[in-house]
Amino acid sequence: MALSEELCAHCLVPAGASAYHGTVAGCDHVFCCFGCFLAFRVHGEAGEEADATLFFLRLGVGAFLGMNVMILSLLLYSHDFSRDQDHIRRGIEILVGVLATPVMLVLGAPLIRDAWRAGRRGQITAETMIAVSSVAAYGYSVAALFGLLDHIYFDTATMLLLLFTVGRYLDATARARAARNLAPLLEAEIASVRTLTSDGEVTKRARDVAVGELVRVLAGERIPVDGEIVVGNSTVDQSLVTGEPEPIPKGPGDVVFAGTANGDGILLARTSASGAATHWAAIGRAVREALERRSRLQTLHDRIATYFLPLVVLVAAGAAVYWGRHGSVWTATSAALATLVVACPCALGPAAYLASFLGIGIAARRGIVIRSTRALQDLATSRWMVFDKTGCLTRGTPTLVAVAAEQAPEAAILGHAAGLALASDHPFSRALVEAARERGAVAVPATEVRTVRGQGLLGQRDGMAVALGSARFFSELGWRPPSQLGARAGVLESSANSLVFYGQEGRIEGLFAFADTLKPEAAEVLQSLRSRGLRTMVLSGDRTAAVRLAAESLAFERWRAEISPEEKLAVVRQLSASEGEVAMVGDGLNDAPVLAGAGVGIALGSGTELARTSADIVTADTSLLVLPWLVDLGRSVRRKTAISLLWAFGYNIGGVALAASGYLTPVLAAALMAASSILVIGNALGLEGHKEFGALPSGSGAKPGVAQTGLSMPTDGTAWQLGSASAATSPKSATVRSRLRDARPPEFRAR
Amino acid sequence: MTNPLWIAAAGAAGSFHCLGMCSAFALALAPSRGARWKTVGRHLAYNSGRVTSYCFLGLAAGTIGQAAAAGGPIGLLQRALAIVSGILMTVMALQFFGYRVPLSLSSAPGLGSLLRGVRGLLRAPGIPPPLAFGVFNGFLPCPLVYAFVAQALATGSAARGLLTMIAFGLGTFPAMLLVGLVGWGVTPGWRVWGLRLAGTVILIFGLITIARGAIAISSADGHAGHLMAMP
Repeated sequence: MALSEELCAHCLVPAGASAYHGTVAGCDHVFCCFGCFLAFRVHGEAGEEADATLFFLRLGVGAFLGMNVMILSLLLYSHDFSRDQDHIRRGIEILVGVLATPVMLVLGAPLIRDAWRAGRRGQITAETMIAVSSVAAYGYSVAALFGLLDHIYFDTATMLLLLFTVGRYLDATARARAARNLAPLLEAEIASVRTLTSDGEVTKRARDVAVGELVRVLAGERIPVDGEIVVGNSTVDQSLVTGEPEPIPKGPGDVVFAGTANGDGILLARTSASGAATHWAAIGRAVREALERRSRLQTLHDRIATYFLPLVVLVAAGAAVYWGRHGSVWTATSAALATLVVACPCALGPAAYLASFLGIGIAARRGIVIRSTRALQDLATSRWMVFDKTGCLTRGTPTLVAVAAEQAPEAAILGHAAGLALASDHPFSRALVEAARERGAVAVPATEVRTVRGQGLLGQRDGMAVALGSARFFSELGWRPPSQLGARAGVLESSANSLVFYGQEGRIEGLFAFADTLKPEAAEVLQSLRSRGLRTMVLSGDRTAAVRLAAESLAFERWRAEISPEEKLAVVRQLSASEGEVAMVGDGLNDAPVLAGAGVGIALGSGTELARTSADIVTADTSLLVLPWLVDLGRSVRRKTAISLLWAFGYNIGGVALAASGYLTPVLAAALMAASSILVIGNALGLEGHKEFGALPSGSGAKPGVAQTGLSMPTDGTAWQLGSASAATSPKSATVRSRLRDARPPEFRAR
Repeated sequence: MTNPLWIAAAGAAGSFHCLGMCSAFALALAPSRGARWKTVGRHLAYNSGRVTSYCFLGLAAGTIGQAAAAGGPIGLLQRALAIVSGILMTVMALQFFGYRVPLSLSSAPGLGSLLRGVRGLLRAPGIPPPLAFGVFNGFLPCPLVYAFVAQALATGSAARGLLTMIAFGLGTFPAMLLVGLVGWGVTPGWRVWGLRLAGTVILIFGLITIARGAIAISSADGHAGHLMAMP
């Protein structure tokens, strides 16, 4: 599907090929359906209350007339008028006709126009069904008034229009409510910004704000640009960007991000990025694309709907012919109309969309970007959850615990290695740079640095070839360690430290040992996933000793160590071919190929690198606690979608059968249609009311405290620890924050 | 079914409740700047819209009752229906004495926009806006209306359900019209007594309805027929 497709102005669902173009308050908008057009006019923006009033005026007057038509029609049906009362009967019939006519104009005209437009494109829509049915019932009744036919059925015509209009309005309102969660994500580029210039305050769109401009943010407003606070103190809710639920105090000099919510202070910030350049806009684009991708269930729905409606028209025609021969003209018309009305796929739309839509919104509110509705549903059917180790199961902020050098002094080797590591975002690289800075080693940046994915780095320094990476990387390069260094490596490795080697000019010159700790929540989360029937596996490029220790302490069913990203991908492909859908959890950048290749790729804590990861689901912080919650969300969405679709299709098919066999009157069919829509909408909206999805994820079964203490909890019994204990004091989410604050040297970002 | 005159009287007694809840709407219907008769027209339109909605509800409830009673053995389902309706009425009556059923529709989709849109109708000039407003007003959750809709359900007939609500609606007509036209109000103290009156009336109706179903069921079949024709 083309990504350029427009979203409905009201409910943000892709408008699709049968988009409804409408003008509201002088502006052209695109809507996915007639209901959204109505609802948009009712909800409107400020100053459009007159439009809303007009809608309810039409609906109210239409309902008044329609209800009176219904009541008077009942009188006609139930009362046996004697021959000398015929003029009374005639009078009532004319009165009913007079009351029904304005209803046709007020409520029928927009529908007929819409059906006409669709018809010219060769499409049959829900509006077509209702417009044809009500016009037919009205036309039949007018003919009856002139004595050409038997009975009048104005009540059918008006009730159809009333119930359909109300149903459509409710549906559109429900979808808009689902979209409310997403709205803050989608307005990044069009948000209005108060900029301070020499002429005073000027309001403009976020995309028009230049770098360096001063922006004023009032209390409670969403911060519209990335920037640095110049004046003011406040707390900022960054959950949309970092997933942190707690507001963070900020003052002059602190960095603020577009899309985060300002607390109760007034801030003046200097813009560093605006419009499409912000992370906020990146999230918005990802969500927009997610809404445009259709899940399998939706595709199924589209496919069936394409064939269903023409088929229904045939069935209705068949019923008309059959009843025309075996009954009255009205029996034939009634059966055909009831068939058309009951087949109206009003409930199918919300059934296919609404739950996924809500799911994406519920996740987005927590800073989790779900890139497609398909991902959410595939997560629900996953049999395996495969984890990367470093940065995913472990805190991913390894600390340098030992340095060994062959010839040069250790500090010099550290400096050389850090000069190469500057070009990489890998946790080991970051730890090296950090250690070099702490120890005062001078890092001379290397040039022409190439990353060999999952293995190491190659570059040039002073005309020499330099390399940094795993033992395997060097053995592939054919560079060998001197014997002394090799022995030292053996000792360090046997205590499950991770080793990184540095070499130049074909010789390994030094080695670095790193220690990493498991995330405190890992054991609990894995247990919780297993209790949901998921099987678990670790795939890591790390050494066997370290991976085995992690896998065994967390009771993983399977594990593989020392494998390249390509091999990881092969393992995942094989697993999904033989044992069903696989969800892969990784850190987004280093695991990009396998995350893209798995059924569902979940990138933990890559929210800020959204544009660079291809994962289907991207979380804002690195906590694992979100995984069971995501699985539950996916399963709920899938269950709700399946139930809704089953119900909607079942209702449609059952209804068509009943109607064609003459058991349904058109009015009853319309009432069923409205009830079906309400049922489907209620089912989906139940997702939002669900206690688990209404609150922030605290890990199912996990004590609330665990979620919070992920930051400060010392390594407990379930976590294992290697080498130095210092890793326990450098929590990953703090790292995310510091990365957000641009704490890293510019070389890091210039890659 | 119960005599429509009784229902109308009950509606009139119940309008003390209306005075509390809906008189604000009637008062808010801005009087027309023009002729006095135009203001009268606006209030007649508002009340017609309201009563039409009641009638429709009665028709719908009666139809459902008719459909529900049609299936089973003659009389049995109708009596069960009477018991269910009577219980519903009793529950509604208890609301007037302060025993509230926790019922929240505040999260129903569309409610917020409905209220916003409908508010505009109160201020709009002319006859049609109050008419439309009355229609929506008629569907507002109201224990008094629900109680009589339950009564309409118990009739087990579309026509009798309709008649029940016509009678009820007309019963509420005078008080509401008076409020709108002359600003006739009742002090809160009186209103409390009014509410108790409304509650008592509904309670009596509810108990009669239950009794009608229960006595008929407990007594031997066939013989109970005449009980159905009670007031």
